[in-house]
Amino acid sequence: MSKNDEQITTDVLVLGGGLAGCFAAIKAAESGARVVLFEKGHIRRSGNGATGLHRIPLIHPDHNMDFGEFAKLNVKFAAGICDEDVSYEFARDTLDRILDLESYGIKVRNDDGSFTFKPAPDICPGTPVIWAPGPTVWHDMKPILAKKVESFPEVTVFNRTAAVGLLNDGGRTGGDMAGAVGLETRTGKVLVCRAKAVILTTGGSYRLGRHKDTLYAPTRFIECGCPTNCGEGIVMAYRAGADLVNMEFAKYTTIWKDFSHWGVGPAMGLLRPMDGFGKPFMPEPGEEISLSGIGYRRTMNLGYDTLGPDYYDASSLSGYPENKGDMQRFLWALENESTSPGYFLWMKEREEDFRKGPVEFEWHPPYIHNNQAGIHMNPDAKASMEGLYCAGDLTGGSWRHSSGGAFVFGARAGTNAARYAKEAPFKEIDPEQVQAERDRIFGATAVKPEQGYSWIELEDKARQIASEYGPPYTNDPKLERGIHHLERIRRKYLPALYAENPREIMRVSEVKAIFDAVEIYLRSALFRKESRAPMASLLRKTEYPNRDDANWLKHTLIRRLQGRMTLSTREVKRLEKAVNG
Amino acid sequence: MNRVQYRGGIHINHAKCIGCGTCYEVCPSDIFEFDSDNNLITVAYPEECWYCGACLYDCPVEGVLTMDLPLACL
Repeated sequence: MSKNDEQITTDVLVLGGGLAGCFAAIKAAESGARVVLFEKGHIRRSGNGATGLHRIPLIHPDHNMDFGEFAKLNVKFAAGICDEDVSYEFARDTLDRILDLESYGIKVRNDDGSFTFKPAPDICPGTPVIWAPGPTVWHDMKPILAKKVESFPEVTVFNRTAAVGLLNDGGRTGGDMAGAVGLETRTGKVLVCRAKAVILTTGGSYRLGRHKDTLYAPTRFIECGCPTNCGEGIVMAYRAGADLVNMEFAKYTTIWKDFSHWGVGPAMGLLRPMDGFGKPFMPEPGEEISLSGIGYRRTMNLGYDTLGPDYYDASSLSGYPENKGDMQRFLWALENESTSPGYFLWMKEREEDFRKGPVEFEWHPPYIHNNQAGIHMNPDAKASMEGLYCAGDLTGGSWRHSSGGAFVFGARAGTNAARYAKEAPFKEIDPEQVQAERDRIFGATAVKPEQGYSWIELEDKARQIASEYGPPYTNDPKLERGIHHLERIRRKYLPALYAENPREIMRVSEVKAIFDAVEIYLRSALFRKESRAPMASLLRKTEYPNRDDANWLKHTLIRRLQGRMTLSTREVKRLEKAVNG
Repeated sequence: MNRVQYRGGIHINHAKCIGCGTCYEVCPSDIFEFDSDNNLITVAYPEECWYCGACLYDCPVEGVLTMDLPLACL
């Protein structure tokens, strides 16, 4: 440790102040804990929910289905790779968290008190989500949540502070949580926070696969998720000894053609996808394949007679083409979605208008986002190490659906971490572990730029390798080759990463995490000897073309043991009997 | 290395900007710089913009900030 490091002590340390982190901080404070929150941006507008969202899962027997029924469907549509108990508990809390949002001042109901239930075929059949009750009502959800967080005197928020490493008891990998190290991204100051419990809510990774553009383009951070989220929390947990699962099951989504934002999400709920001849493309009757599987099959020209263009068509919506009925609700959903200003510019420039005709879309490269891949989490939002909790898009082993997962498990993480912190003692921070974290990121400041490599070059290369060699369509020789290239680049060029200012030190931390995330992604895909198509994800291995439940209806388990990445499997959990209500 | 010029990004109308620093405060990608001595805000990292619109929503003055997409997206 350096004497210039700021030393902080608290009960519960929340790393990441997005939707999940805000709920975690609120519930921990309500449970009586002192809370410190590190946020790389500013909690007012950070994370995927920065400027809104278009839907929130709501499962309830009074409205759409029993929790047990949802849990069974969730597991089926996850192609079995999902802990059913987490699915059940997720469903159970969805209404309460929506009522929390309402109590914080966010409009969730129509004026007549009803909710607007809509389909989400990327989740399950039926109508498992609610949409916004107005055109702009969810734009300010994040600022309202941030204000609620700031209203607690026992919560201290450190904005512009990136978490860079977890600290274990006595510095031992796998040891109980002792706290974490943070980096002030504008000043380069290091913060060492001692905490009884740590909650990881740093989001998924939207910097895993690479687009058709390189990162040298001005589209560098145009992603379908907040670009500050690059898997650092997942990798921090792994390095500290926590269990990761299913990192081969990256996620795919539809995006605006050439403009890699969300916004096409609402279309996936309601609109027909079709090809340039107007023919809808959906599974053949009896065919078990996800929408992502269809999309990639088309892209790879396997079994389809056209390579696009692909469109979403709104003409079957009630109210079309006027601003009424389902058409109006759809347009409100588009407008409420985070990052919406950009795509209204895109639509205007291209003269694409859902009210006038089909709108062109394409597919985003692989990313990690609230599905099977991530830190293994149990229904109590607990990770595999004592004192470590997690919530939101970085959790894995189940399927928790966008904002709902953040709200439900953010709240559980906060409540349970606070309860744990009441009883647990502080653990011992090892100054050598702190120094190792500092060296890991500050080492780059000693490299002369004219002899070094920028973070952009190194990130671009890692993500190129992920896209070129990784899922969805791959095989063992290809994955082994990709791992070989990644290791070669890491060995020779990553030590030459330079950083000239605090912002670049933040990028060093990110790029090192990206390298680790790509390695875990490729090794997990290599380990799994089958093909499987969970909804929103896909793994197709040439030499193992079929789903193999006899051997592979399991989580892939990734752990750091004795300093080495070790892969094995872990049972998927099933509820013992059908549970209702 | 040749410097390639790209169009697109967040533009600040300095005639209307009051220098409150809200955009600098909230940007999730931290693309702005704030010279508080001169009350001047600039877009220092246009290539790292997420185009989320947070700055547009939170800027208290109409017409200060506008967004253009890069040509690659249009």
